[in-house]
Amino acid sequence: MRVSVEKDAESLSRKRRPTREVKAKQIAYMFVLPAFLFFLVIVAYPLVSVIWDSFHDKNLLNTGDGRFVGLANYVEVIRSEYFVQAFVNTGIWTIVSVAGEYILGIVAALALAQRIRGRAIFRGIIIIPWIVPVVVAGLTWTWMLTPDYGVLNSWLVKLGLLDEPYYFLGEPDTALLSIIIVNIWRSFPFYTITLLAALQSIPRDIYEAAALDGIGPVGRFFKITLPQLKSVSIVLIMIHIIWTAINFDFIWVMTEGGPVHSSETLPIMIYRFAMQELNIGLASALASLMLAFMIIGFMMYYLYIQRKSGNRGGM
Amino acid sequence: MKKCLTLLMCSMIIASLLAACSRNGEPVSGSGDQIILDFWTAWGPGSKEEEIGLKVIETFEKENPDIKVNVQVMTFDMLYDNIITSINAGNAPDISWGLGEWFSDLNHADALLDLTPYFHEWEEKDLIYDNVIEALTVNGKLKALPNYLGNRALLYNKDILHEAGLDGPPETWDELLAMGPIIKKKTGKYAFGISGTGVRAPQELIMYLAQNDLELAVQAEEGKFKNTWNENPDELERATEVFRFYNDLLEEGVIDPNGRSWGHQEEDTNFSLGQYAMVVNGTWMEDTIDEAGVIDNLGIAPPPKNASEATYLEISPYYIFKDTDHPEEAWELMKAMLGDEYQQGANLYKSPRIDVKGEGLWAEGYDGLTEIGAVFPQVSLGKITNDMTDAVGRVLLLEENPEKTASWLGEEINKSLEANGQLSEDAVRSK
Repeated sequence: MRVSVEKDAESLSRKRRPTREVKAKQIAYMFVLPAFLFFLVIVAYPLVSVIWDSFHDKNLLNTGDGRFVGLANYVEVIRSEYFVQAFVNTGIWTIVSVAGEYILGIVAALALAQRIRGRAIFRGIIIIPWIVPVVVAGLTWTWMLTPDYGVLNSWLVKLGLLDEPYYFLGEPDTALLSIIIVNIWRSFPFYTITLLAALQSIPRDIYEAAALDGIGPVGRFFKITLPQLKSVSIVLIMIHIIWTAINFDFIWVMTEGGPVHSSETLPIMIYRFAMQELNIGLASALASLMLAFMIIGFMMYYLYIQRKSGNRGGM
Repeated sequence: MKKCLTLLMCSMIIASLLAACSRNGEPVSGSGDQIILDFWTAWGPGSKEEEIGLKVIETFEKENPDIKVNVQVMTFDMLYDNIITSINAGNAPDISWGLGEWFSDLNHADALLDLTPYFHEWEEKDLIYDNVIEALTVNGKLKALPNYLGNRALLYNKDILHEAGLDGPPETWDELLAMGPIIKKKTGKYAFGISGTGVRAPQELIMYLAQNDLELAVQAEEGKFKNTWNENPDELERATEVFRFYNDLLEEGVIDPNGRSWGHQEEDTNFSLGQYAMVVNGTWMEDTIDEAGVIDNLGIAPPPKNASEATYLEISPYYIFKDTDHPEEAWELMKAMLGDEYQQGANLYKSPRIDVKGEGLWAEGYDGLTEIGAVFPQVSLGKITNDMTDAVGRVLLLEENPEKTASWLGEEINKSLEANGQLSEDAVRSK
C-alpha cells in the first residue's frame, strides 16, 4: 500500500516537473524580458504619455493643472495659423530631399562602381559629408551662404551669376530650398554606399547577355540595374522618409524654421509649442497627429503593395 | 556560483543606474557636510564675465570653505530649455543667470524664491536702481536680482557720417530716414542696422513701441493684462506708425535689404566691421568694436525718438529657485556676484549698481538711459516674443500692410495672454 502511494506521488511530481520544451520557452521569455522592459520604458511609456497628454491641458507653467480637454488641443493645432504651411513644408522637405538624395546617391554609386583609377580613395572621400555632425555641417553651410562674408555668395557674384550677394537663408522664397540642398549634400553618401554594395552583387553575366542582345547602357540601367536595386531602394527610401520627415536639427541649426515660418516643418512646430510656448498639450497633439500621418501613409503603401501582389497572383 | 555571479552583476548594474539618477547638488558620500550650490550661467567662452566670475567664485569658496559652487556654462537657448525642464522634473539648480524675458514664465511657474526678506536685510540694497528692483517685484515680492542692465544707445561710426557730410547722429526717426539715402549715396554704405530675427528683434520692437508711447500689454485692476491697440484707434494708429517706420527704413534704403533677416550676430559683426553707419545696441559691443579697431571712430548717443524718448532696458537677472535646499548660501553667492569685484570687472558700463559707472565714452554715452528704459510686461512672453518677431518679418519680408500687422499683433498678444490665464476679465468679457 505504502509503495503504491510513493509511486503515485513520484508520477505526479514527474507530471508537474516542466518538460524540456516548457523549460526552453521559460528561458526564452527570460531572455526576451530585458528587451520587453526596455521597450516598455523607452518606447511604450513615452508614446502613451504623449498620446495621453494630447487630450489634456498640460502647460509647463501650470504643473498642477492638466484637466481633460478632449480633442480641443487637436482642433487648436489644426486651426493654428502656421499649421497648413508647416504641413506642406514637411511634405516638400521630405519628398524633395529623399528624391534628390536617391538620384545623387545612385549616380555616385554607378560612377564609383566603374573600374577607374583611385576608386578606393573616392569611395572613402564620398562618405565624409555623412560623418560630419549635423550641427557642424549646418553652421558651416550657414556661414558659406551668408551674404556679407559667405564664400558661396562671393563666388556667385564673381562668376556673374548674381548681381549682388543674396541672403539664401534669410528670404522666405529660398530658405527651405537652401536647407534641402544642404540636406541632400549630407545624406546622399548613405545611399551611395548602400546602393554600391547592392550594385556589386548584380551578376556580371546578365549585363554581358544584355549587351550581346544589343541593349545599350541606358537600356541596361533601366532594365537590369534599377529592377535589381528595387528591394534595397525601397528599404532606403522608406527609412529616409521617416528620418527626413521627423528631422529637427538641420532646420533648427540653419534657420530655426524662419524667416516668418517659411522653413518651418511639423517637428519645428512641435518644439515651438513645447519649449517656447511651454504648451505640452499642443505639442503632444501635433506629435500624435504626425504619428498618425506617418502610420496612414505607410498603411496606404502596404495596402497598395498587397493589392498589387494580389492582382499579380490572380493573373 | 553562476547564479551568485549573475546576481552580483545585476546588483552592480542597478546600483550604478540608481547612482546616475541621484539628485544633483546633494553631497556625495564621503564629502562631509559640504554644501554644493548648482550655478547655471551662459558666460561667453573667454569673456570677461567668465574670467571675473570664476575668480569671484574662487574667493567665495575660500571665504566659505563649507560651500562648493558647481558652475555649469551653457548657451542661452540651452539654459532656458534646461531650466524649464529641470523645474518640471523638480531638479532645478540653486541659482541661474538668465534673460529678463524669462522672468514672468519662471514666476508664473512659481519656481522663484521670494528674496524680499534677504534684500531688506542687505546693507547695500540702496545701491541698486529703484526702477530695476520694481521691475523684478511681483505683488510686493522681490523674485530676482539684476546681474546687468543691457540699456540700448545709438552707436554711430563717426567716419561714415563725416564722409556723408553729416554733423552728427539723428535725434528723431524722421532725421534717421532722411539721412539714409544721403549716407548710401555718399559712402555706398547703409545708414542703419536692425535685427529682424532672433531674441533681439522683439527687444528692438518694444523700444520703438515705447518711443511711440505704446505698451504691449497694460495691467488691469485685477492684476491681469490686455493689449488695447484694437480697442483704441489712436493706439492702433501709433502701432501702425511703428511698423510703417520699419517699412520706411527698407523702402528709403536706410537698411540693407539682407539685414531684414539679420540676427544679433550679423547686426553686431557688420557694425563692428564698419559695414554700416549706425545701430541701437548695448555696451557688450565694447569688446567687439575694440577688437575690430574702430573704437576711435565711435560715437554714442540716445536712440532716435519719435513721440517720446525711450530705449529698451534689458534687465538680465539672477534667479534663485524656490526648491533650493540652501537659500541663504545661494543669497550669499548672489551678493558676491553683485559685489564690487565682479561689477567693476565685468559690468563696468552695465552695472545695476548706482555706484559702478566707469568713465569715458561708454559710461557717458549710456548715462541716464536707465531712467527712460522700457521693459517687457510681467506676462508669459514665449509666444508673444515670437509673434513680435513674426510681425517685423511680416512687414519687411512679406510686405504686409503695417496696419494689418499692428492689428494682428494686438490680437495675438491677447490670445497668448488668454492661453496663459493672464488676460484681464473685461477683455475676456468683451470678446
